[in-house]
Amino acid sequence: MVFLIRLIRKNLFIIVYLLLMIFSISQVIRFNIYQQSYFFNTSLAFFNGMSRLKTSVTDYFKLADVNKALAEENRLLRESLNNNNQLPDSQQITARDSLGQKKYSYFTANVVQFTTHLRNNFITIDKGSNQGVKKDMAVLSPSGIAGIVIDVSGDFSLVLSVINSQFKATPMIPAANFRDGSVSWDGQDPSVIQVNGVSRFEKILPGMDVVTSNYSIKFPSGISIGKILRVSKTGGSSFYNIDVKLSTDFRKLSHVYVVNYRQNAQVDTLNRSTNRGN
Amino acid sequence: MAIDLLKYLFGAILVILVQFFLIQEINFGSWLKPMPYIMFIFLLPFTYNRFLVLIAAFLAGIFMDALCNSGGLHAAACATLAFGRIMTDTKILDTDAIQLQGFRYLTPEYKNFRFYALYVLLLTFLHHWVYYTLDYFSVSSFFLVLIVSIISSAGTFVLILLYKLLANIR
Repeated sequence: MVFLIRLIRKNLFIIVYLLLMIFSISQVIRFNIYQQSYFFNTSLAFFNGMSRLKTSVTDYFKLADVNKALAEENRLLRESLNNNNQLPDSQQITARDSLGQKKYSYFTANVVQFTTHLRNNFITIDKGSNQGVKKDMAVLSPSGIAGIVIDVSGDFSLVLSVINSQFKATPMIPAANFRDGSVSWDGQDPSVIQVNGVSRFEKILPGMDVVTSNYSIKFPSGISIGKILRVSKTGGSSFYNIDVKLSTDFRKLSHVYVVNYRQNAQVDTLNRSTNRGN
Repeated sequence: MAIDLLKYLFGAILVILVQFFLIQEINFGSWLKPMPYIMFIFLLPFTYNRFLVLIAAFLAGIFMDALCNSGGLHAAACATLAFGRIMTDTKILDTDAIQLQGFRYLTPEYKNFRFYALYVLLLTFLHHWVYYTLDYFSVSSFFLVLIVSIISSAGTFVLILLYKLLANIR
């Protein structure tokens, strides 16, 4: 016992260092393997205040681009208005079920904090459980997809950004009539993501649009992901390497929409009864 | 001593805020992500208790992590940097002799610039390597992590020198 105490006292510095490392690495592992959010994140009030101070300044520099994105979105919305079309297009059919109820409802939210320089990036928004935001809701930017809510506090929520190693979504390439594979980010350029699992026998060309698939539960179908930038093949692999230029500019994110899928409870119950995730 | 500590606390908060509000907002490219806030760990005097240095670095890391939602990346990297600095100071450098020459911490004026650059660059690389290893968290990106940490260490070192220049002008 005396020997043990002496050993601890002799190596106390190394032991304290190892304890600190275990604490901080456990945080990283908790996120990377179990997808749980960190202990210290920006849904805490103090750090949130700091972030809001920062965005209150940086928002001014983004105003021009944000206005442009919102105007472009308004144009698209005007084009898809009911009285603009003679027949309801497919978009409208998927947005309503047979009884004519709305399938999705949207909350608007302001971005309080975001990062683009990390491998795992998050977005903090100023709507939380008090406003009806729940875990696993999809988040859209005016020009495309933005992420998924993973943690909710009273008035704020933490969003897993598209440019995060844990983000996955199912893409659809309408021009090639392809709806499979997955979208993920390789950690390099925050404006380019990758589509994996596209068979090399499909006819995929640069410039094609990539949108969210109608198989996806979290995201409404047909939301823009981006445009194909490069298509390449590696020898021996039966899949393409596809780089997609994101339609959302994460460096200039300022306003987002949180998507509330109204039948989520039913889908959840179904999935739970068959013991499936997603 | 107490006033000295306050001064260091203020300095640490200042460099962290500059890092958070300014450096991270600048897009240097996807391989160059400098983190000059770690310079305050190099500026702590040799006379400070090693536990104080370790805990101070760790708390600064936690503060940084909470600000930019990075879990324990900065905390682990800063703790490793402080640990590395203490180990270098006690095992390799003769801190008593350096203090007798009137230096409270290692500066370019002691010996020569190359000695100082080696000291700062190696410890900075240690910090960046731990940071990016945990950030990427995959064995397959080992070489990518190595390249990113080498380039970012160089960037951090240049910015630390710039900070030092600014401090000297005053």
